[in-house]
Amino acid sequence: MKLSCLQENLDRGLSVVGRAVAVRTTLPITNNVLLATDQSRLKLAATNLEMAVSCWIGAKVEEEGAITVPARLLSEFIGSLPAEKVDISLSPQTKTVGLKCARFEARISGVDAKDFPPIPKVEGGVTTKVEVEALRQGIARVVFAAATEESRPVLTGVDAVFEGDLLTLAAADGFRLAVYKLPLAKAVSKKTEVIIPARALGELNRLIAEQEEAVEIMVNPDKGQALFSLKNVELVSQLIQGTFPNYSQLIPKSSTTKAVISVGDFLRATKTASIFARDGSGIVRLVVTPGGEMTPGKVVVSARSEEVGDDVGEIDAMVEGEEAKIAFNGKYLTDVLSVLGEAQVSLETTNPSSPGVLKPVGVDNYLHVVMPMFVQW
Amino acid sequence: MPIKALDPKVVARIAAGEVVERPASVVKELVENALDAGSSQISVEVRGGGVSLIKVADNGSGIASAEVELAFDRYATSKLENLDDLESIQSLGFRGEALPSITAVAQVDMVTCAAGERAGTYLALKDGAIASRSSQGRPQGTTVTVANLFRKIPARLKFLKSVATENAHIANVVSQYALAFPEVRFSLSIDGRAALRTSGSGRLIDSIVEVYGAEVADSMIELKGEAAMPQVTGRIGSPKVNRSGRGYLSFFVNRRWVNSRLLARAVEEAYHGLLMVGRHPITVINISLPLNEVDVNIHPTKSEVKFANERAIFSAVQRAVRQALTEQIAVPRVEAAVTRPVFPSAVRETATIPYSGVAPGPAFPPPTPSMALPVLRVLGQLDNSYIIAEGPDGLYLIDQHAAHERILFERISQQRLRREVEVQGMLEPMTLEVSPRQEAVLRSRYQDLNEFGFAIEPFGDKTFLVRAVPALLHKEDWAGMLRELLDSLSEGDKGDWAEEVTISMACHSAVRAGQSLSDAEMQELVRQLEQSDTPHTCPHGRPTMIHLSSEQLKKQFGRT
Amino acid sequence: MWQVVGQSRAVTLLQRNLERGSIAHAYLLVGPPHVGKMTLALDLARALNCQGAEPPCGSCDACQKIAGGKHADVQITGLDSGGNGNNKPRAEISIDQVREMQHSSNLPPFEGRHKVFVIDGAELMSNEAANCLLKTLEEPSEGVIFILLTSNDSVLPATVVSRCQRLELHPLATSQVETVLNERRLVEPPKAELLARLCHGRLGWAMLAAADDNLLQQRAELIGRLLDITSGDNGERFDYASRLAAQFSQNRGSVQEVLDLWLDWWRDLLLVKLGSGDTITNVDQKAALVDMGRGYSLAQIRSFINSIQAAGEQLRQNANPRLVLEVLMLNIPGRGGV
Repeated sequence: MKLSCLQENLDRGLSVVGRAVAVRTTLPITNNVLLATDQSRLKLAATNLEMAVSCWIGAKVEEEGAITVPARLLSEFIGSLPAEKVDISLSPQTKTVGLKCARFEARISGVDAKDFPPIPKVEGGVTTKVEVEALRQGIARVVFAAATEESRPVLTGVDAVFEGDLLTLAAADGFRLAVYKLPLAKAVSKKTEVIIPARALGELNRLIAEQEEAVEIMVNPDKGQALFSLKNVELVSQLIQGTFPNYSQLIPKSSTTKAVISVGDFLRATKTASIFARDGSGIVRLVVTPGGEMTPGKVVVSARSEEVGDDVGEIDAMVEGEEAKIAFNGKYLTDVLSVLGEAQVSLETTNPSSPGVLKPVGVDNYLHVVMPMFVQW
Repeated sequence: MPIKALDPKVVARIAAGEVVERPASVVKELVENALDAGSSQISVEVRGGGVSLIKVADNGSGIASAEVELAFDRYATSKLENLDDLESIQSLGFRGEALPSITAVAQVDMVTCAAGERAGTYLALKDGAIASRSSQGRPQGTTVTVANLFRKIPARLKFLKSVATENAHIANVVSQYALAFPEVRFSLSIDGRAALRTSGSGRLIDSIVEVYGAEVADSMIELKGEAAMPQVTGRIGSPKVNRSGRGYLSFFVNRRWVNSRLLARAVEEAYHGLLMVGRHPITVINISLPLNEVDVNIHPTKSEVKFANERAIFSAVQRAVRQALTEQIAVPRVEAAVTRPVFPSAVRETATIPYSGVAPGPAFPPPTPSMALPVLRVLGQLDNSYIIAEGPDGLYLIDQHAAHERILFERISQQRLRREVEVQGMLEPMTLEVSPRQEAVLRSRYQDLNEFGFAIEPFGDKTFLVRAVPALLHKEDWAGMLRELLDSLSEGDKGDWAEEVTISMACHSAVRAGQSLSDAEMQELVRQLEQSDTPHTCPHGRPTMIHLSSEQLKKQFGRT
Repeated sequence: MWQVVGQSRAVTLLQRNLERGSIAHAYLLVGPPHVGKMTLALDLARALNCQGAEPPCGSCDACQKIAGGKHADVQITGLDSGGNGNNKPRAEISIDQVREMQHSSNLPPFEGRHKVFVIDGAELMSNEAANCLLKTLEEPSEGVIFILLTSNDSVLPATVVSRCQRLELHPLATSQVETVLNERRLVEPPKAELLARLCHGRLGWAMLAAADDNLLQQRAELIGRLLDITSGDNGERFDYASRLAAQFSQNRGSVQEVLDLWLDWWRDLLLVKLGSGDTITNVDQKAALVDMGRGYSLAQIRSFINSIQAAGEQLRQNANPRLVLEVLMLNIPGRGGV
């Protein structure tokens, strides 16, 4: 193997695949990154066996070949180089990669590429396409609601239902539920439901942050894999096996109080209260009061701490229905409020021990259900 | 009180049984007799583990010449006249079986002289019968000599342990009575070597110095008994002086040496959280009770007692010990060796009062009770497990998990007491499947778990429905925690149920060892630990920190 | 080709399971150390993922990767696996390691057909870890196979054992080991005989010793120590006892190995004294054994063998190691009994 490429391209490519490099693993080679010539490009790939990211960068290939080298070492070295041409050559006998850039030179011992776990080829599944902005929104609004704790594995993923020209993403952790619907740029041939690990979707969102092109998706539930094709980058995710709980029954059908509140005001009040709730488990209390003839409705947001003191904030709201009292984990409120791009949000509640529903005003493709905390009033 | 044969009813009422199990039981009976006789000096001499010779001499009242033979009649005792007396046993050797039992298994000589008699009486007994009797001079008091114990009963002889073990038992018996009767001058000689000698000064601390040594005595805190009965008095060791066995817990009820699991538990619970698991304190505790509230007559060797009101005794002991401990801990004087955990250590002031047995006078005003830490500055994290912090006096290494456990333990306890437990509802009730053993515990306890924030109800066979969980645990594997808790609770009585739950919750929600913490997180943790009531130990009793004083650092680096 | 030697019962059963498609979700392989548990587990993993005609073929990519520990779907978890960041030896298999396996078991195979999780030293799982694993064993994911290896399944929770198919692996005959060693030309024949006897039917140990002279060297040192201690005074013996006790707290197994060696040695003494010198373990030390045997009576030897066995038993029951070992040292018989 012998090739040359630009330092900045190689540096960017390594940072793209870097997040897929395994951290703790029983298979040491997954700490490495794969370098392989692919026609006139250099392919970089890494996997933690849960997902695999491949990235292609332009290169002048003189001799074909492939090798794996420790990912951290390589990216730290490349990162320290000046923005010039990098010459890469492999000595097949010693499996040593020689790197040359400007007046710097290094040799890194590698491990044979054929020992690298083969990046799964996803084929024969359902194919579709999503506009990148819609996908960004969708992932951002659901992925934080997935469980981080492994006792129910399916909840550590995001449920994705492809049906016609609609994709429904849902995540839940037993205490809250987020559901987002987005259009597919290309309708699917048959309804397909899979559970994508939240970690992989989070990575995908990072990778598409600066992309404008639509993302092509191929899902094969039978093989348990999904492929996301970006510009010069591919992410393959293993799919979580199992059945996602039927969440539609968890969404309250009616409410007795509905408050429409400014997202910014609500977020600010909740964040302030959360500071005071820090010593405990972050209880933020809401008292929703309907307006009178002359007075506007309001939501009082409060928290108290034995040590620090207490905090009461009041925000204006349009309130329909009865007065309501309900307490939430402040983190759950700030999590959802911080991802909303809309100006206003509605909060619907029934009683202090039934779930509250948050929906951005003006759109009907997102809803967030939060279970309250039970407190003494 | 003259010696008489007991009323047969009384005899029947006294539980039957062999009194003499081993040489130490002979010593115990003879010492008790001597104490009952009002002696102020008792000397014990043993040879060959007590098998060859036991000799107990006292300066007590002695036995009148006319009554000497009766003393060897089974169930004759000068101490008990009828059933009513049995209700209010005050003397120690009330059973009247002692001397006859001993004569049955050994060769016994006695020389005794009662007050006012001009000459004493000598009596030799062999195989349970009087072999000879004569007159012999002796000052007032009694000397009993027991020789060739068990020689006629090889079976019993076989059961005896080594001479060293039997000697240890004997030393223990004499030590216990020396502790119980500081006003009596005891001496014990084993194979001609002086093993114990107390001053008879009447001060408990003097006896403790003799029995356990000056270093232990140095750290023994006085219990200030309440005036009302049950009155708990004596001395207890500071937590830093601890032992791996329970053998250092001495209990006396009305100065009678007793074994009592109840009392041991009361003491250990009072020390709870101050000692490492598996370590036990040193205590010398006497409980004074009205005579009719305690039954000492349930075991032939009289070492087990039964209290009429166990609960009252238990809490009186626990309260007294706990109170003494908290007051003692009041002046923290951190005195840690290089690798030794910071246990709150003894109060120097009390120790400088030379074994007076008197609490420091008003010259030493009691400081406000607090074990609080000084303000600490976080320097960094070691091994993702320990926080390194600097205090006004040197370096602190804090175990992040243990420290967080302590903080959460106190928070959960307080929230529960105030009924302000933070509860997170579940969006959808979850089922919890349990094993048959776990089910048995959960069925009887699921309602009590409410207090901690679990809303659990039975849901068919080995299945429960969980509707809410403690907010503290909602991001954790609470189901796993519950199963573990139920397993451990099903393994039998482990003490305070609520505390078990609290510890388990604290343990599962605390940061783990191996978790890297940001500076802000470490500062927050240390700040909260500073505010803890008992920051030095985690709820399991392990230390939360190690302190290296500036002094020690200097010494270690050879700068002094 | 199944690589494991002499475990025909277990192999036959697994082969039948494979042919009938009735592979269990979890197997528990029980047998002494180095008897072939890991080899058999890897055989099964290869059979499940083999791409050849006669699984496990041994020559396809999958078989070779699994044999080399490079297959993405065959994970071995033990005390020394799964970098925990600071590369320190663990005392137990932690709940975090089990959680990693659980997480992975809910994802499909990466390159093969079946995910296989081998837990090496299942008895070393912490209670928490075992409880956590239980949940996975109760609700196994499709196509996932757990193989638990242990030398002592009595310390595993019954709930775990009951959810596994249990297979026992037995020590091989000495002649069988010797044949394998000679067939594979691992060592010269005289050494093959010695190793076959020393390994007590545990082929894995013989192969290790064949590849690594250190093991025999260690044995020589231990024998030297044994002879020194036996002829030494109580001071040296107590010194050794306390060193062994300290070692015990670090590594229980290594002390058991010392006791095993002592047991072999004294058993050999008994045998040479009884004139059955052909059956001794330490064939290379026969002269020394005969010589030493002259100094002791049969009764002395037999009684000390009992002491060694008792000590091993007491250590297993968590008696105070120092006490146990000191008692053992005190029981070393005095020379001159004839």
